[in-house]
Amino acid sequence: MTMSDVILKEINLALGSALLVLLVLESIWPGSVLAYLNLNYWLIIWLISAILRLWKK
Amino acid sequence: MKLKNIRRLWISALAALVLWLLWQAIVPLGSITYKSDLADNNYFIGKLSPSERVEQINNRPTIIGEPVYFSFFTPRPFRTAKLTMRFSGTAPLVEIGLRRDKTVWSYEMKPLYSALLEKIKADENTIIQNDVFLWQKNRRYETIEDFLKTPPPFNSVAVYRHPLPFAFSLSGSARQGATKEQSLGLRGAYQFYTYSDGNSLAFDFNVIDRNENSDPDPIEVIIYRGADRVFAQSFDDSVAKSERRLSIATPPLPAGVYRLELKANDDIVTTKLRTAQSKIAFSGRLWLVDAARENIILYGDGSRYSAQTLNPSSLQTIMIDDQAFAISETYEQFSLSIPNSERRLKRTVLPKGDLIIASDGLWSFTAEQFFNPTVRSMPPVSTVAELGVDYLVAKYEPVEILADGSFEQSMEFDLRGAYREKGKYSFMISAPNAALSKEPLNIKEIKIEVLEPDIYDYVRRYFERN
Repeated sequence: MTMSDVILKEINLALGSALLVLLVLESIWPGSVLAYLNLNYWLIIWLISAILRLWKK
Repeated sequence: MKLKNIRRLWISALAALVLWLLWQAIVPLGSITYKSDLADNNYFIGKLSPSERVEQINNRPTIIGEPVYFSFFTPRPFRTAKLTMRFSGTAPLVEIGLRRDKTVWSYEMKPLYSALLEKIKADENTIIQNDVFLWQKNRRYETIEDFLKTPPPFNSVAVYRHPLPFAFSLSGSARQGATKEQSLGLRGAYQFYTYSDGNSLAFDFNVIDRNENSDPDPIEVIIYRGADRVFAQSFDDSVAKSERRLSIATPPLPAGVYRLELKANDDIVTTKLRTAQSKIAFSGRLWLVDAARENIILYGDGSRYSAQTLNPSSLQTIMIDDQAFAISETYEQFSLSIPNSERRLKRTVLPKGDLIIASDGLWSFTAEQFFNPTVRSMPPVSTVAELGVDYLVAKYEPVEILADGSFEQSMEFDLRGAYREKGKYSFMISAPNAALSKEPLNIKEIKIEVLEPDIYDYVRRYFERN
């Protein structure tokens, strides 16, 4: 596994974990996340990183 | 090792982000400010709506119809909101209101701008003490205290947000000989004034629940004397669609004017009212049901009228004495102004029902029932010539004029008990005749500072209690 694969994997893991945590926080406390962050962009970048990981495999 | 460091880094960043979001939501220090220029989408302060009453000029909302509404989101409830609005342009009278009630769309209104009061603040006939204005057509009083101690005749005064010590006394009997039944056909909430001569107040309301929406439809009847609540009775929702009778009877009440408020949502129709009271005068809006009703007659003493219908079959021309008032489109609010400084009683004929009508005066279904125990309110006018009275008493804080010529005004609202749904409070901007103004009302910024005792206060009070 190259360094770029490791970084890509870590980005994907970081974004995915963060997305999960933020969605849980938003579902428990509506407005606490969406008032400040647009999770759409987060989701798109996470999806792109996942696609790139699959493509590299 | 490097991977471990990277992982620690993003986990720490995520934890910091979550803590920051929680800090913003909890507001442990007790106050936070939200602001919006209304040009871009803002999660906390919503855009002005409905869109047909707002025009975008230079990327700023300009009010061309009224009222308009905006929402205010907070992640948790707060105790107080200090709202500051920066705006340009004028309108005779602009007020901002906070919605208080879930069932009835009632708003607690506060003044933002009054063209008349801004104009007369430098007038030699105006006395100002602690934001209380007293304007006199012919100077008779030297202080506001003199005026309040020996007020002039009831009909020569208009007030704005300042109570006056007038005690209304009814000439004639407050009760008619026997209990009488009259058709009302009123949908939703309404309120009326009546008079007790020392007896109890008793009313029977025949109501029907249309059950058009699945929400519960409780009904509450509240009687006020001035600002004091003297009687209240609640009625649960009824599943049955058939007509039922709701009866209320108070204990004997001191002689005087009382206001009865029937709080219900728009699923409830009051078909009939039975009472022995001789005086019943409705205030605020009336939703007269049933498009098939013909020639509904009302008696009122208003100067400013508004009407709207949601039903194409109810498009009509209302006659207020000999003045025609055309309602030619659905879902649009029409307004009419008829100078009536003497508060002369006018006969209003509505050819069809299913119409919402309101005025700045009172209404009765018969001329004999009509009376007006209220002091005249300051109308939304810009000059004293349009006032039609000899005295004006108002509680008003003049706007601050900024360096760029725009205005700024602040006001505080108590948020406790205010209507809040999904984290949003609802505000209204009322600006009658705004569209007629030479300089349209343009909102530049809304800033809302919310306040709550901070965490240290909670902790201190907890230990004080225990």
